[in-house]
Amino acid sequence: MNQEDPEFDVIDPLLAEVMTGWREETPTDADVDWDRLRTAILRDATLPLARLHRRSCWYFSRTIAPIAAAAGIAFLLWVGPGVYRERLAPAPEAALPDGIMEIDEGTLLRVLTSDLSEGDFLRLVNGGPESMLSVAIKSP
Amino acid sequence: MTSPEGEPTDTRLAQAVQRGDVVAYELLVRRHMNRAFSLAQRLLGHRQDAEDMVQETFLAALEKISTFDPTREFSPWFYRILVNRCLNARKTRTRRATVQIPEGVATDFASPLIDTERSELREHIQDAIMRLPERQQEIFVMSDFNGFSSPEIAEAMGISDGTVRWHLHQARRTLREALEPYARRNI
Repeated sequence: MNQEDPEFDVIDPLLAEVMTGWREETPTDADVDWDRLRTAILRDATLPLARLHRRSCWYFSRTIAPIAAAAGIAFLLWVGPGVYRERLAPAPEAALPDGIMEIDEGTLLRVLTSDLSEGDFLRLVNGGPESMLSVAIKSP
Repeated sequence: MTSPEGEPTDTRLAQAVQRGDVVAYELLVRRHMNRAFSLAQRLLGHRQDAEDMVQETFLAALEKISTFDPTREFSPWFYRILVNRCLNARKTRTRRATVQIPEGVATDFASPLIDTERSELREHIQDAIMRLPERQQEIFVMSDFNGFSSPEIAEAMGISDGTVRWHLHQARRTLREALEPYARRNI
């Protein structure tokens, strides 16, 4: 008999009768202490459930957390340069106090490397920019 | 994933149990404890054995909950574990643990039988079930004792529906043959 046979799933009446009676018979469970049984089942489950919970947390920390951290870093790299360029950019140069002139680097080097007399050097150190300029002009 | 009444489905609860949710586990126990006991008592024929078996089966199911596939039904998966354990226990336990066929069942279709014959018939059916190949026993019990459909059993066992139906057919045929002498006697 193969599965296409219409008789395939038909149960023999005698066997069906036995099984129906068997299935419908409710076992006597009046003596069962359901609360005690449930308590025992739940007590057995304490450790395995704790283990599953721990494993679930571990899984989170080992998979989701790194992904979140990587996403955060990616976001900062994407958004960050604009923000940080502004923050890290040098502040606008403050106005120099009165009486102080700016001297360009070339002039300064020329003054310092020139063959200054003692007097000129002291004037240069103690004096303002004007004296430095005059020294620079004098120097070859 | 909830039932029409708003209660979480067994599958949803099992998924929560996979994460160690105590409340979900307790709900599953409450839902299935009575039915599991009822089936275990039928298969083992002894109240205390059935209680122990239900307790052991819930623990075994919890130990292997990570293997439960949430795209499938929880119930066939769980009862398959119970049926397997009951059948194994029957093999290893003494004849004290026997499948209980209610007295009335035998009387219904074989009323002329005297007590000795009735007892003999019960023994024959019990022996025939236990002589079935393991897979046939499992499928027969899940189907004809526990009322699972062949697609449900197929899902739980990871085999095709056709294979389940084939094993079921073979099991029923074998059991029918075991009943044959008694049927002939009562014609």
